[in-house]
Amino acid sequence: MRVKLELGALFAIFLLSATTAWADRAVVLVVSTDSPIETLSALDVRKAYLGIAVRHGGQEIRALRLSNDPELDEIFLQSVVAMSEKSYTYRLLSNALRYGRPRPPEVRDLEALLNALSTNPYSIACVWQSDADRFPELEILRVLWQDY
Amino acid sequence: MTAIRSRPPDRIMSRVLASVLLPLLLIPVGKLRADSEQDFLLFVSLEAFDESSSDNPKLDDSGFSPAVDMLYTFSGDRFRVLGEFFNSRDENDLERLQVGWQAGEQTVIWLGRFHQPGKYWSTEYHHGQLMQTTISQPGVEQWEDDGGPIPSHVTGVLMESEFVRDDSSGFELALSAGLAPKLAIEGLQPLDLLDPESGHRTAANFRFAYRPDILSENRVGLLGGWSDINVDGDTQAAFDGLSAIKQTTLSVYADWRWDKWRLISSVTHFSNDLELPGTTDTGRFLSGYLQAEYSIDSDWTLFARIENSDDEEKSAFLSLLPEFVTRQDVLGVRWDIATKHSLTLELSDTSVHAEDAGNDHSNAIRLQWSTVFP
Repeated sequence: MRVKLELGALFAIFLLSATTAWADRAVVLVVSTDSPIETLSALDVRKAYLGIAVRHGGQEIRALRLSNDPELDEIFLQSVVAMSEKSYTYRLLSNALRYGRPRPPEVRDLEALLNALSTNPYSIACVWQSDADRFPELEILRVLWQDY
Repeated sequence: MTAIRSRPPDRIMSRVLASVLLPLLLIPVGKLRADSEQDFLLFVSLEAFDESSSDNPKLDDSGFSPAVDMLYTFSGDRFRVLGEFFNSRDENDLERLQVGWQAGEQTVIWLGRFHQPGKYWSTEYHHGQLMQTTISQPGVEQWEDDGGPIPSHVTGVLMESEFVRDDSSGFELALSAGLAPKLAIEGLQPLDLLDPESGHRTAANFRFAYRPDILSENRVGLLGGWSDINVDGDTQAAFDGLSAIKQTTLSVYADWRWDKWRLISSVTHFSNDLELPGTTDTGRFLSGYLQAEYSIDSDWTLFARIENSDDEEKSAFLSLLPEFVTRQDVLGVRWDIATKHSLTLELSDTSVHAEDAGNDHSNAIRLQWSTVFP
């Protein structure tokens, strides 16, 4: 009986710790702390990543993508633009052909992303919350996806 | 001063455009502002084809046709540049070279050579072969230098504007004015920025689109244009006394997707006034198409297209364009091998406007690989 209780307690501790770890897994929308952008609706985030002009204080918002994380990419496609990779790729190619709008810039790593965000305060990016928490120069605008 | 005055206005305009626009392509990447973006795309395709005709042996042809389309775009805070250069077996052209200014939140004014907005297919896909499901274009949407009946390339001013409503529906409006193609020995020839010739007159075009949701690609709308097409003195038409063609077009179009289906359709009414000594020969006809696409899954798409024309056999204008496709049935399948690679097989049964005012039939089979880099 005592062994059973101990096993039960261990299992409960395991479940609790696992839940806490998964709850940390979230994708957030960030800007530089210098950015005048204080809020952005989910619809405007989607528009910005689809290449539709979204302006804040007269300035066009520039949407940046991290290209080094396949899991983040998958969540971005499902939860931010709600499209398959193929549809999203064709939409951006079409914007370039039709309207002369370059595809949103892709940055290779977090350092390059921080640099790009601080260079243009009207830039936005999607990153893991754990990464956003590590860098004080990033400000979280909203949670885009969370694994409950 | 006198020399400048004596130059035709189209030659002066092309020189001004070339001197302003070409240096923009030489902007080194390192000098670009931090709030600017640029992109370079290379659309590549390779087509194997076999065409045969029992009516007209001139239509028999087979072989391979590679094509490369280079697109450069730059977008600054209020300033844009777009250049497109197309190279294929039959042509080697600076298709578009435009510089744009963001005149309002949703309005851009472009100056340069562009694809005029009064045609649907050419402003939807331009020369990006990978972007269109089919290999061929409908006859009425053909480029003017490939036998198409509507001028495609205009050099002048283009305004593009978008109005987005609170419910995410929106309207698009594009207006353009500039120099029209002229009728030369080779057919309709637009102004070539790299080798400008005189003799081009004016054109004005528009596109209006309603989009029920700007996040989707669905749209319906109206297209139209007016072109004053000069006839080159070297052509047979000029020897026959034809001095100019005044063309007016009005089209309705729709591009609609739902579930696994997509329908693209356009119907165009043509009115062509042929200016002959002491008289004007007016001809009117209709031409349109309906293309249906069905996605079997994310990689395979079946497609079919029917094209037809009405009253075209009476058109004196079409007798100047022997390659114009009056009727066509197209059937095919596209396999998206990877996100940016596709393989397409297409069968077609085509009728072109024959010299005896009848129709010449031909059949064709095409196989094409298309992609884009990067």
